[in-house]
Amino acid sequence: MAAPGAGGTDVLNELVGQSYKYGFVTDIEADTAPKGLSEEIVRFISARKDEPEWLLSWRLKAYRHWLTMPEPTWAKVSFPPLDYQDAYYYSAPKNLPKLESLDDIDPEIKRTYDKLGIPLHEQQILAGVAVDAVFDSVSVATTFKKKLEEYGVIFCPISEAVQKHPELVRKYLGSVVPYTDNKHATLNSAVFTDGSFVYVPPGVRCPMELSTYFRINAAKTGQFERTLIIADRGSYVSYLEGCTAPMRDENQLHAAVVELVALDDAEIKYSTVQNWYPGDEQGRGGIFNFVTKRGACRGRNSKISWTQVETGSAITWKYPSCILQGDNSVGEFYSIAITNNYQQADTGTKMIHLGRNTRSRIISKGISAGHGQQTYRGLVRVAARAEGARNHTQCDSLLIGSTCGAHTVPYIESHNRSAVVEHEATTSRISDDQLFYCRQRGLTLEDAVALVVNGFCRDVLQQLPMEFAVEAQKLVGISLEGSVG
Amino acid sequence: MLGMEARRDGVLGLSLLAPGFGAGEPAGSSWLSRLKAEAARDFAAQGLPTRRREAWKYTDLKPLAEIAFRAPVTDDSASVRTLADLLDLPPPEGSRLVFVHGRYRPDLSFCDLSETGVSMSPFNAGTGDDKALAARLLGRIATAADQPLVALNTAGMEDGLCIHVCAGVHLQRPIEIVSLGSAASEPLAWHGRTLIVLDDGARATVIERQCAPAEMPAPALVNAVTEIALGAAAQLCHYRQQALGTAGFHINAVAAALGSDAVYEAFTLTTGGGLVRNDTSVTLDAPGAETRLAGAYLVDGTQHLDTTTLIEHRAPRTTCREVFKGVVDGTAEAVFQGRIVVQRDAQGTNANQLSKALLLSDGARVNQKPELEIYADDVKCSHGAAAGQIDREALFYLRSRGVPASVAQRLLIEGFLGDALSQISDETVREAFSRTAFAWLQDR
Repeated sequence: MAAPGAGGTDVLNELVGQSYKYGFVTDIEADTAPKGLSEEIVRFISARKDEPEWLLSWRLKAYRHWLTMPEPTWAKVSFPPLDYQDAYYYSAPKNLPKLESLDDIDPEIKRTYDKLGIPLHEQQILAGVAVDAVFDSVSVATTFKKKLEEYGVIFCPISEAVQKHPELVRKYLGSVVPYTDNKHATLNSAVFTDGSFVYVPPGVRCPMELSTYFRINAAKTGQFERTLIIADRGSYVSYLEGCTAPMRDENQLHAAVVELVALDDAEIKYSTVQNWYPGDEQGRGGIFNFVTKRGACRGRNSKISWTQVETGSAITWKYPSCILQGDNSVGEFYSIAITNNYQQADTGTKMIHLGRNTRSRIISKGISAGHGQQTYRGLVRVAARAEGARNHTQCDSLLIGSTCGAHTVPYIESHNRSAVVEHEATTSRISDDQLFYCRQRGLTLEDAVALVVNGFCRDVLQQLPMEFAVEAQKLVGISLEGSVG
Repeated sequence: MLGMEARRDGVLGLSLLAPGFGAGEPAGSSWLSRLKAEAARDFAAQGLPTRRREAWKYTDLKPLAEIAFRAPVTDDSASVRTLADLLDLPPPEGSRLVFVHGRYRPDLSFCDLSETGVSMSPFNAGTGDDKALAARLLGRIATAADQPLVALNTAGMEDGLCIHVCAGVHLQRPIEIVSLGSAASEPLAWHGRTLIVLDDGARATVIERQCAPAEMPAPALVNAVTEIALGAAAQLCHYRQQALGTAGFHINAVAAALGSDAVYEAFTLTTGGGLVRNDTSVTLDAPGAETRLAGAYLVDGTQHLDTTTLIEHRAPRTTCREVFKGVVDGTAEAVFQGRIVVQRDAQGTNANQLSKALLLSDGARVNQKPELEIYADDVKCSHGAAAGQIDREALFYLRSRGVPASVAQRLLIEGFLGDALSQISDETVREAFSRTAFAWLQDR
C-alpha cells in the first residue's frame, strides 16, 4: 500500500511500536487460593465468600458439568490449548478495608487508579458517576451508595448481594445464561469470584450512570466476574464497564458472564470499553477475553442496548446478545472492534426475536491492522410466532495493511413472513484518495487517519454515554493512527 | 453395481465398498477405477454429512439415509421416449444430449454437426486428447477428500460426459444437456458427472435441464457433479433448470476453476425437487478472472432448497457478483449460504453478493448465511441479505388502481425475481426461464 506522503512508514512504525500504555503491576499482597481447579477450589471460593448452600451446590453442578464439556472450536481464533490447572482461581486484596469514603482507600490502589487515569473524585463531581471499583475480584470501594439508596437502587458487589438480597440473586442468577450454556460460562458459574449486582426497582430512573472498573492484577489470576443487572418494571439504568490491565507475559483467561433482565417497560443500557493487555508486537502474552453477555427483554416494551468498544485482549470471544421475549421489545448492539499486531477478535451478537413486533438493530464496525484477524459473527433469528419482527444489520470492516484479515459471518434465520430482516456488510480500506484529500489540506497522516476512522466509527461512538465517548474516541485514535502508511 | 443400501444408523452406501464395486469399467481406464476406489474410501471415511458440519448446518440429509436406493437398470426405451415427449421440451437449438438416469441415450440425443472445434464424449470413449484431458482434470476441480457427496458421485459415476471446446472457438449455439428421471416404482439413485473444458479464448453456452415427472411413485436421488475448467479469456455461460418432482433429492455440485480474464456466468432456476442442494464453488485462479453467479428459486409445499456458493479469489483484480432471489410458499424452507474468500494475493478484488427471499406464507422459512473472509486490504467487498414479505404499500398502491390482489401480488413478485433473471445475458434463455418462473406464479 503506497504511502500518500513521505514519512508515512516512519509514522506507522513509530505508532505501531507504541507499547501498551497501561502496563504496570501494583504490588499488593493477595490472598490467593492454591493453583489449579478442582471441586475443593470451588468449595474454597464459596466458603471464602460465606455463601449459602444453594449457591455452592449450583457452583458444583456447574463444575461437574464443565468437566464433561468440550472446548468450543467454532470461532475463528487460534491459541494453544488452555491449561486450566496452571492458573489461580481466587485472589483477593488483603486487609480489605471497610470504607465509607474514597479517602480511606489503600494509597497503593489509589495510585493505580491515578496511573490509569481514573479520576474517581473528578468523576464524582463532574459526571455524577458512582464507581464500584473492583480490584482483583473484590470490590474495595463503593460510592454514591447513599444517593442510590434513596432511590432504592441496589448497586453492590454480587457477593454482598448474595448475603443481603439472596431472593433476588437466587431468582435471576443463571436465568439468562444457564450454567450449562457454554464451556467458558460454565467455568465462570463454578468459580466466579465477584462482580456487580444492580437492581433498579419499579418506576425508578437510576439517577446516575453506574460504573465498575475491573482490573486484573495478581499474576496468573483468571478473572471470573459475574454481573447481574435487573431492571424492574418501568425502570431505567445505564451501566458502564471499562477495563485496562497490567502487562503480563503469560496468557490470562478472562471468562466473565453478564446477565441482564429487563421487565415490562424497562430499559438497560450497557456500555463497555475493553482495553485488556493485547500482547506484545510479536503476539506474546495478552488476555484471553472469553465473555458471555446476554440480556433478556422479558417484559413488554422493554429495551436492552449493548455498546462496546473492543480494543484490547489478545483474543476476544464475545457475543453480547438479546433475547427479545416481550412484545414490542427492542434490542440494540453497537460495536467497534479493533485488532492490531497479532490480536484476534471473534465478536458479534445474537438477536433472538420471540415476541411480537420486536425490533433489533446491529451496527458493527471492525477495524483490522497489522496481523490482526477479526470476525463479525452474528445471529438474527426470527421465531415463527414473532409477528412483525424487524431487524437491520450493518457491519462494516476496515482493513489497514495487507497482512490482516476481516471476516463476516452472519446467520439470518427468518421463520415468520411478516418479519423484515436486512443485513448489509462491506469491507474496504481507507482509500488513498481520502488520505490525499485530507493531507492536501494540511492534516498530518495520523490526523487524517484518525478523522477517517472516527467518521467510520461515528454511528457507534454516538451511542456511548458522554463520559465514555471521550475515552473511547481517544482509544480508537491511539489504536489506529500508527497502522496506516 | 451402483446399488446403495442404507442402514438405520445413517451410514449410506456401504455397498460402495463391497468387492467388485467399480467393476465393469471399460478396459484401459485404470486411472478412472483408481479415482473411483479412492473416492469410495473418502466417502466411507466421511459418511453422509450431518447438520453438525458447518457447510450442512441448515440442510438435513437424514431422510436420505433412511431410503434404500438402488442403481437404475436399463430403461425401457419406449416409456422414456414418451417421457421425453411428456416433458414438452422445446426443439433443440444446437446439440442436445439426453441422459436417462445418468446414462447417455444416443437415440434421444441430437448432435449438431455443423459446429467444429468441440467434442462431446464419455470419459473413456473420446479421442486420445480428450481422454487425457479427463484423466488430468477429473476429480481435481471438485475434490472428494472434503466433500462427501462429491466422493459419493465419483465413486458411483458411470460413463460421464466430457465437453471440450478448442482454443479460440466460439460456439454459435448452446449445448443442451437434458437429464431425465422416469417414474420408477422403486427408489433409484444416480450420479451424473460432467466435465466442461474451454481452452484459451473459447466461448460456449451450456444449458442443463433436470426433469422428471411431477408425480413420482418412489423417491429418487440425483447426485450430480459438474467440473469446469476455463482457460485464459475463455467464457462460459452455464444455465441450469431444475424441475425434478417433489419426491426427488437433488444434490448438485458445480466446481469451476478460472484462468486469467476468464468469465464464468451461471444461473440456476429451481422450481422442483423435494430436497435440493445447489453447491457452486468457483476459484478465480488467475488475474482478471470474473464470475457472475445468479439464481432464482420458487418453492412451496414441503420443499427444501439450499443454495450454497463458495467463491475464492486467489489472484489480483478478480471480480465476482452474486444475485440470488427466491420466493418461498407453503411450509417450504430456503437456505442461502454464500461464502467469499479473498486470499492475500488477491489485491484489487471486487466482490458483491446479494440474497433476498420473499416469504409468501406463514409456514415458510428462510435461513441465510452470507460470509466474507478477507485477507487482502485493497478490496471492495460487500454482501446483503434480506428476508420479508410483499410490500403492503406497493400492494395497496396497485389495488387502489384497480389491479386485482392476485395479479398485483404476481406483478410484484415478478419484479422482485426480475433482478435475478436479468442477470442472464442470453436472451433466449432469459425469456424461457422467466416464462417458467412466471408460470409457477400463475399456477400457485
